[in-house]
Amino acid sequence: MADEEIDKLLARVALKDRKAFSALYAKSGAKLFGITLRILGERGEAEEALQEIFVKVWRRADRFSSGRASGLSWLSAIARNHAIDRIRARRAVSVDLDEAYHLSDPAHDPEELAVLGGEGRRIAKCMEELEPARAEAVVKAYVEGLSYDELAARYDVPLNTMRTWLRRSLMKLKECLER
Amino acid sequence: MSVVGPDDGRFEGGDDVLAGEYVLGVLDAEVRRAVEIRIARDPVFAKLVAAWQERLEPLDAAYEPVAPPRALYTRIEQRLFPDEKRARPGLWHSLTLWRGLAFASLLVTIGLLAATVGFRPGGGDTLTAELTAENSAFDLVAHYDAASGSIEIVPAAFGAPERQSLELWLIENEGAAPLSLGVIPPTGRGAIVVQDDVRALMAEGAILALSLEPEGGSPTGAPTGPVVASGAARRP
Repeated sequence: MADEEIDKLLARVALKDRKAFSALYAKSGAKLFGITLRILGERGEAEEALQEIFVKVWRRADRFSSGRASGLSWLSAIARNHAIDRIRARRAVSVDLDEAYHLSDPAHDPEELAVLGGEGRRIAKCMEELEPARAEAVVKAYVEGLSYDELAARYDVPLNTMRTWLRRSLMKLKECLER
Repeated sequence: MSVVGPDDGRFEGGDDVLAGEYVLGVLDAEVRRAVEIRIARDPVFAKLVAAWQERLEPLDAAYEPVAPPRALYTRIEQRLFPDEKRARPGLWHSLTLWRGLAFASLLVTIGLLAATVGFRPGGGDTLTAELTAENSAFDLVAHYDAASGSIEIVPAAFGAPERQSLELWLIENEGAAPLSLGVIPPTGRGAIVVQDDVRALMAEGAILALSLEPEGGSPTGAPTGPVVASGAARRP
């Protein structure tokens, strides 16, 4: 699978192989751009974030060990974390604007879990054990990088209620996945 | 804004919940920073985070790939290698080794190195590379002689930790396994003769890398230790 290829390329990038770096970009750039675009919602910023992500990847490839996660998961985690950090920093300055922007999104997106296959079927099954609104909040939080504040606003519940929802949902998910 | 304190129920579930919240992405900037510091310092906590990463990672399937603009990769390269020159006249005919690259910091047993390498064409068919690293035990000059196909190593300062060797590798191209060119003599002085059949592999895009290995070289035939220096071969 393409995933194994990404593992190999990462090992070569750790040795500062620029040809492998270019191939890694060709193989994973679109997926990582999909992540930054989805979370940041604005093309220019998503492009800027993608550049920063690949600079990180070049510098940190030696920290990837293929034993644990797949290369693509490792890259996706870097991309998600970077995009989330960026959006948190941005929203600290312009919370109102951004909340308005996000509130205009369709609030309900039940298709999200339908794309899950393989390992994803297990988590999809466990999500079904949660109340639908809470499962959806978990998926939205992860996929769109929404904060507790934004989720509370979107679901129109107090902040602490949202915290309790998500924390309990996480523990239920864990319990289900470990069953 | 979320607050880390007993009132917000943080301690219901404790660290495991905090790790899950971090991976989920719902924490605010300040708490994320605090959690990241914790990940770096606390291996037990880092494992909790890794476990959540593994649990939630299937959700990555929700991200549709979107092709980034073509020019973006060039911009990434310009950020990483800003001083690179496109051509250098007067170099040995088929390839240049250790092009002026800036190396990333590399963690070696003795500490964090910021290594840089510069080279200049020598007389005739030789190429010189200076490998230096700030605050490090490694500081050496390598001469590549095209006529004999040998790389001569001259130590300026050479204090490889005892029981460890520096091994030179050639990586032919994408997908190829690193091929050992040999172990640098323990004194740091001497030559590595590049074998005839290997010389043919030294083409554009090939990588030379120096790794820190157990005494006598890698026991497995593949690099096992940290890479101290590396560079891609390019046509001038």
